[in-house]
Amino acid sequence: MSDEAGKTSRKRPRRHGRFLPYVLLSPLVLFIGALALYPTAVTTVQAFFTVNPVDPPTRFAGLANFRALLHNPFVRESAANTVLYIIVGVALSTLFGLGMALVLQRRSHWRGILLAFIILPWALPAVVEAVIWGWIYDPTFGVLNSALKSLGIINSYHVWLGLGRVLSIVLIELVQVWQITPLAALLILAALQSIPQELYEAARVDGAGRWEMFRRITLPLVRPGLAVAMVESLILSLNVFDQVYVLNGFAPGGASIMLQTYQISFNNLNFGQGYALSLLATFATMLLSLLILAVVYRRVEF
Amino acid sequence: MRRAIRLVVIALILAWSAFPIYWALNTSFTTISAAQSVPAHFVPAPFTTKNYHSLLSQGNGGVASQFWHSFLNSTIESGLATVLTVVIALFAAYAFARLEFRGKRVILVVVLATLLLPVYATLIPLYRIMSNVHLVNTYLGIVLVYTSGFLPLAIWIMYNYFASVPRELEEAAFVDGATPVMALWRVMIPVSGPGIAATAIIVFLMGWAQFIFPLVLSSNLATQPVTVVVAALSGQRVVPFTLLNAIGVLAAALPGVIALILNRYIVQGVMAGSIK
Amino acid sequence: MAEIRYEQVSKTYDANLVVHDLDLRITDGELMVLVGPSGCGKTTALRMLAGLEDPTSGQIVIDGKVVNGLEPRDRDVAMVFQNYALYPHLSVYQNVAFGLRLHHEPKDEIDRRVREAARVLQLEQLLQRKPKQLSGGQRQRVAMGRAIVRQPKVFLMDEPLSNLDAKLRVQMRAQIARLQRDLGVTMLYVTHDQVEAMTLGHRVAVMRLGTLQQVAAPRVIYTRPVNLFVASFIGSPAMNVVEAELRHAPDGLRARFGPHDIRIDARLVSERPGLQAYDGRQVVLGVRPQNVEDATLVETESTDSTIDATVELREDLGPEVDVHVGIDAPVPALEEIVEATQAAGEADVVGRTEGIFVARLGSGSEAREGRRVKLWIDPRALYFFDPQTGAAIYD
Repeated sequence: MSDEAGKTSRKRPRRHGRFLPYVLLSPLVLFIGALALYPTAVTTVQAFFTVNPVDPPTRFAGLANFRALLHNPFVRESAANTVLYIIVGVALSTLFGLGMALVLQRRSHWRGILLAFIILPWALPAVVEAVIWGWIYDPTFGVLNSALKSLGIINSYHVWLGLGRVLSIVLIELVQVWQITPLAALLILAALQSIPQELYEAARVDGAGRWEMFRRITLPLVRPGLAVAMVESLILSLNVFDQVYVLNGFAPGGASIMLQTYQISFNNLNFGQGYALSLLATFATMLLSLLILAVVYRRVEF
Repeated sequence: MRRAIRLVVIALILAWSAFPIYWALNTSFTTISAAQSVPAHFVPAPFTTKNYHSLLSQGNGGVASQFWHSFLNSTIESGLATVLTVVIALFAAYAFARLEFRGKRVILVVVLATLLLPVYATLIPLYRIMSNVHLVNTYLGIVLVYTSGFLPLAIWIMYNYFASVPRELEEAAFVDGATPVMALWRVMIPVSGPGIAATAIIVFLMGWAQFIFPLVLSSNLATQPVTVVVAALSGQRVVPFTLLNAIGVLAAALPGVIALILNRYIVQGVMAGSIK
Repeated sequence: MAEIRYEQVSKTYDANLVVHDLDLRITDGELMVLVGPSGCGKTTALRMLAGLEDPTSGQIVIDGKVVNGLEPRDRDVAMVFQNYALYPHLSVYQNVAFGLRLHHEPKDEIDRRVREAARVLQLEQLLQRKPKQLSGGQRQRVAMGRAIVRQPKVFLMDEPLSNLDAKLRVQMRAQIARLQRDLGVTMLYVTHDQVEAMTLGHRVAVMRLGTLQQVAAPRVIYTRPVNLFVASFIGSPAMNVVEAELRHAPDGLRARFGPHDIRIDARLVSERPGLQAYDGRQVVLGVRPQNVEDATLVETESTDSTIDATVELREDLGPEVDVHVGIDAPVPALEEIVEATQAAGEADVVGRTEGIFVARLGSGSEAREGRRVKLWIDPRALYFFDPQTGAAIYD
């Protein structure tokens, strides 16, 4: 159509009242301002204060909260736990997600059914999923036990959760992986679909085999999608709460950072420390996200 | 050969996605002793609907009524939050996509940046704010908190949809005699129907899945959603195992059915939103 | 009634002058075609008339009223967009009725007008369908229906035929011309296709890089182009141009280029007094391919209007033959020529800069690739342009 020089930088003439945009945006600004920005500011500031209904008044405490957290063995343990949660969560969800995306990429009559089923875990509440998986892991009624016993892999029923720290974390994170893999799959699928078919066709004409096409075309060009999927998984696994709460409770064995924050704030009522831990976790999230983006993301243009 | 591998993988994916729910269904339709048996029954035998009967007949000393009350709460809270979010997001996304004004870029970036905020950045202060204005344990408090959390994502999805509508459609409407608001109402919104539907569905599902916020903001059954109640019931070990499974199935039923039937919209919405 | 005037209208985007001092008058009931290559500013000019863009300076006047600053909906104009811009969620009937409903016309009036428009455009069978169920040509007619049903003062068309295939384009062109004639509405039609311009317009306005080059009836644009750009842009295949030296001869003026020396018709010279000033100097000489013929097919005795050249390419068109010959003479590399021939879609721009003439010969010509041929250049059909400015030489 119109191809005059400078079209992309053209400003449309304003054909509405001056105030229309602001009127349209005011509810949004109100909500975000009052219920997102303001609370974030509060968290950031009050992390440096002692805020405790059991120990009023609120007074400036400098870095005391942070120091107390770093010395708290429960906090250190939950931090270590969370690292494992993240590793398992990001690795498995990205791997499985890539696999699902590759299967979904090809048009077939399975696609509709596949998509419907794949989406299912993502759509269900995490808590309900945790409860259901909890029944699978259950020592008395769980199908994990009865299946393993039928296959002869174990002799008697085991307790799975709460037995060993690493095992518990892996099993709990598996539940979250079950939930977030669909999201990763869709994000990766979007990236896969943006790779032009011609590249594959040219490679075929040049004699490339399927594995080579995957290694040399798909993998490099899907990196932006992988990076975004990994960052999403990172954020979700760093934040893991629902599954841990249901399957582990406050037992130190598998507690996550989020759970710890909840406990400090609402059980111990030490809000100041809760804020401080929130702040630390937020920084960690941003740092790790940037790390992933720096390593994995490659700007891809066609 | 390749075909066979592909079919196996597809079967694995389907099994992986469906198995836990299938198992819960399986267990819910049978008796306690059958549930405990070794080896496990893959099909309920004996088959009984007594668990569902007791849930639907209000017997069973209050577990059923607890469950259904929370189910109602979930529906109301998610539903209201969805309506509120979609309406606000619609107007905002239109403003971002089509109107020019000062500060547009700044506001958009800030709103989208809040998507990256983890839960804890706002959890505690929000609790204290709501408690100060006495909105704890109320539908309104929960709906407001949900809405503020869902708005950035809703706006992102709708903004992408609006931006992909060709400008010529609105220009044609202007030339035909429409004001910007009329163009929004008669052209943009109808044409973006699928996008709006996708946003609404995704937001509704997110509302149904909320746990930590309602855990903090509601301390009694008046407003506790299904997630909180199910977690509590399962932790207590008082309710029989098979009944618990039935509760779990029912709790998963609404979002599950929505996901199975309307998955097209969800997929479109997520993938449209991933165009960075 | 609905006369349109652009008065010194300019439009700048971020320091790019897209439309420069446009002065154009379109009389009531006229079909004016605005034509030019991509980026020449024609679509911007049209959109300023519609009210979808605002001029940076100058006035736009519709029916005696200055419309600067008026919203499109207050200008009583209707527009057909290049991609039709049909409302996908509405049926054909509702699409056509849209504008009328916005103006709150009474329902039976709307129904009457929509059905009348549908009858004229043969859309009656399609009224209940949605746009995605229609072919390109049908969608185009719906877009037109939406416009005519409003009975506006001015009709605006933004390259409405460019998305149609060649055959359909010819059909629709005729229908548009007929429609405009029957309705008698003032119409501004924008296109990059010079064939559409020449066949549709009562008058044609040629634009280049934001500036109006010439406004005149098609015949005049063709026979008396005001500069090299207009001459190269209009006419297909594009005019051949070459740098030539004018020299005096006993029988009048002659033009010499490369090894060739041809006669210029004496009457032509007398009608172009300005040529005298170029006697003994260089000019740009132009001749249209249609005015070059195989000498063996021409009943003339003299050889003083012929050139000898080697045939590089022969294209059989059926009733005619296009022949590309190397003429061993420098072709001016003026940007207007490159731009004009590119815009006209000519494939042999490269050939142009290497001294190639295109001649359209009668099908009886025996010219063959690789052989020499004698071509006769009609001495009465020559064009002359100043080699520095590109302006045509008349007075």
